[in-house]
Amino acid sequence: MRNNLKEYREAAGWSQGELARRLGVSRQTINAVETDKYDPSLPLALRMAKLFGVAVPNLFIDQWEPEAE
Amino acid sequence: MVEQTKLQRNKKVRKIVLQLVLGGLVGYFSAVGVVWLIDIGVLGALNTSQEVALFIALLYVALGMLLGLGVLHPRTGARVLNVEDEGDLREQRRIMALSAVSMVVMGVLLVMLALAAPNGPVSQPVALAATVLGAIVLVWFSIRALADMDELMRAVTRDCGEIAYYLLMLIGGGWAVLAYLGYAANITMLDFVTVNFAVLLVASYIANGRRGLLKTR
Repeated sequence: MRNNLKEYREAAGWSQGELARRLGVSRQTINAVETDKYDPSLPLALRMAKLFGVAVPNLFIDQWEPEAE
Repeated sequence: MVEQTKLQRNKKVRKIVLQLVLGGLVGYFSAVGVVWLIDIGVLGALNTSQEVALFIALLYVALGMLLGLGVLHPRTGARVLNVEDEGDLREQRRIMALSAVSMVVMGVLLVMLALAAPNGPVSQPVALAATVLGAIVLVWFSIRALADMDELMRAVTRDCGEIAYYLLMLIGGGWAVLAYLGYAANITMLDFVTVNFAVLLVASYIANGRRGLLKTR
């Protein structure tokens, strides 16, 4: 899933390692999320959103739209 | 900026060359060593199944030792292992230590089976005891490693198990069908064990690659 994690992380001035430390995951996890190789679990996505003070849909981009009634 | 990108690219190329040379040397000398030991008869009169098992076993031991190098000496390990820097190795020291020892244990376990009597020099009760002990150690290490893994590593582990299962279905099952129908030779029980070990290694590479963990850093 496409995401804006890298943009938010760089805007905060954090390295991948620093963000990983704050979230309690490995640097590889942050790298895998940023390069769309791994979709984080819901708890981790919520923690990321909370850390950057945004809603989850601001971080993770889903193109799906419900069908019109 | 351009200069920095060039420097990074050169560093990557140097690392790939070093990894290839080191991997080639380890593989070459392991193979030559085993062939020499077989030729001089120290290992008994091994059959082809036992020789193949021995090569796979040595691969496990060699990979485990390379991981161990990263644990014991992160600075050197960062030059030969596919990690961003030595910080990555320090951060994951505990889990890497467990992985390194597990791989060596798996290798030794397969060596004991490969060298088992009647063809090899290791008596069957000793080989069985080593296998049981090795299996207990591996289960214990796996449980400890799982506790240290973050969610990406757990996902990679799950993927690895899933891929290994399908590969076994394809290779083992496919071979069994062909052998049953008379289109291929029957495999020995040791071949079955060796295939399990080999498939796990291949599955691990695929699972890591799918998550971008094999990308040269």
